Amino acid sequence: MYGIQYNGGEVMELDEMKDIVTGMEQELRRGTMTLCVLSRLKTPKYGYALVEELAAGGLSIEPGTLYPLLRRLETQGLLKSEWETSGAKPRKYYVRSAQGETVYGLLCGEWDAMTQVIDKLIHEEE
Amino acid sequence: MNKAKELIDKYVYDVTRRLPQAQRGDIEKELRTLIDDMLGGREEVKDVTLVLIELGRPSELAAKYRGSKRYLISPQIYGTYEMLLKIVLAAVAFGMLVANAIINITAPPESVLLAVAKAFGMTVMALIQAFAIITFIFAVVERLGKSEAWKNEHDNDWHPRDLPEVPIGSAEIKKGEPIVSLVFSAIFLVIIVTMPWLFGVGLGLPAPWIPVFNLDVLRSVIGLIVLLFGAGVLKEVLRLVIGRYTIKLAISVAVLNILSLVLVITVFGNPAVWNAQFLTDLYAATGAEWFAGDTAAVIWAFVPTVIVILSAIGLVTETATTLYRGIRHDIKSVDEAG
Repeated sequence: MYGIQYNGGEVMELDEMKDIVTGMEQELRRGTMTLCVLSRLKTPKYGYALVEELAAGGLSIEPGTLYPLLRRLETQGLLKSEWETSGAKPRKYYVRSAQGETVYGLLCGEWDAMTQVIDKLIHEEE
Repeated sequence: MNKAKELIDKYVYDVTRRLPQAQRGDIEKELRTLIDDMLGGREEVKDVTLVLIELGRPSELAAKYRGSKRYLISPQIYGTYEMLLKIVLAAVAFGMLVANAIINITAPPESVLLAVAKAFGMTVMALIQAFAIITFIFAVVERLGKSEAWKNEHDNDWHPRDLPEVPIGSAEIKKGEPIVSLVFSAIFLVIIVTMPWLFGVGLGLPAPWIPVFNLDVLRSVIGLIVLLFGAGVLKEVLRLVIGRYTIKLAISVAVLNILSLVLVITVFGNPAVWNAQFLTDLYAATGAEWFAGDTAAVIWAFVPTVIVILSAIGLVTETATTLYRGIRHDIKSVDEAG
């Protein structure tokens, strides 16, 4: 059904709208991912355990996205890591650093303020 | 089991080979454990395949690990790069067309087909070289642009007051003039490098003609000649990129013109580069007594000096007008700004 007349976006197909929504949703998730990851790392965890924990909490994140993100947060000094080699497989455990604690606290404050504003904007009639 | 392990080895290798050496070992260990976790005890090839598909293309995973995007030429300068590429490639193609037309008119080819093939081959080679040189220059600019000093000057504290003036009237440099200069530079350079004897006298003689240059000496200074043209090309490119008369442009033009003048004096001011046999050969070819006379000898002896003087006048005039216009328009825009 690609032959539909299309003028200035007046007629838009459902599929196309879904694509746009998916794209926007991904952007929203990308922006909040760091906060979600930081929130779960008060205690040391390894990558895949975190994937499962987040999935159980309703947030699915691909390992291919999470693992690089963990390394980046470590480079930024927000996480510390340690290899645990006593088990059957070597695992790298990540946990919030002192700096990470502070940043996480500040970020939570930002999040609360932002959700309040957005809630008001989208639920209030114009 | 072995097939499955081999598949994992191949995947891990394909990811880590794209990463900086220092991170490879660590990421490899992490990745192997991750795959193992995702398999959760399953070890069939089809299970491994599914897990690897979930992890995605190795190049994309490696890119996520590397973080920042890598560019040969980044979007910030790509626009300029594309514009220059179009202009220079068009100039080179046109230059090669004219140069080949001149060759084939002066020395009619035995086979038209062969001449066309040769012209085509030469043009393609010249275009590839021009493309490579411009890309190289921009890649260098890109790397230099990454340096802190450049960033401080260009990225931080941008203020609308830094916006260049919209050129009014005579402050604007029309694109036509630099483009025409570039085209003629390309034609000239092609001729002087590939067929220097074309600067000579033909008189219906079969090619090569009697050249005005001593071709051996000319060949020995070809590097300087290329540098001379390079300075000229750079000047026109600056005109195109800056697009208006400014003091910055004027100073650049002045520096390049001084360099050009030094090169003209070194190359064309040197009597050895001119053909000492020119008059003798002309006399031999035509039999005209005048070429053997003193007047002709005196005139010929003056040629290097005349060329240098004419070049000097041209370059000095250009430098002076560019400086005058640059200063005038810069002062005017400063005045208007307050």
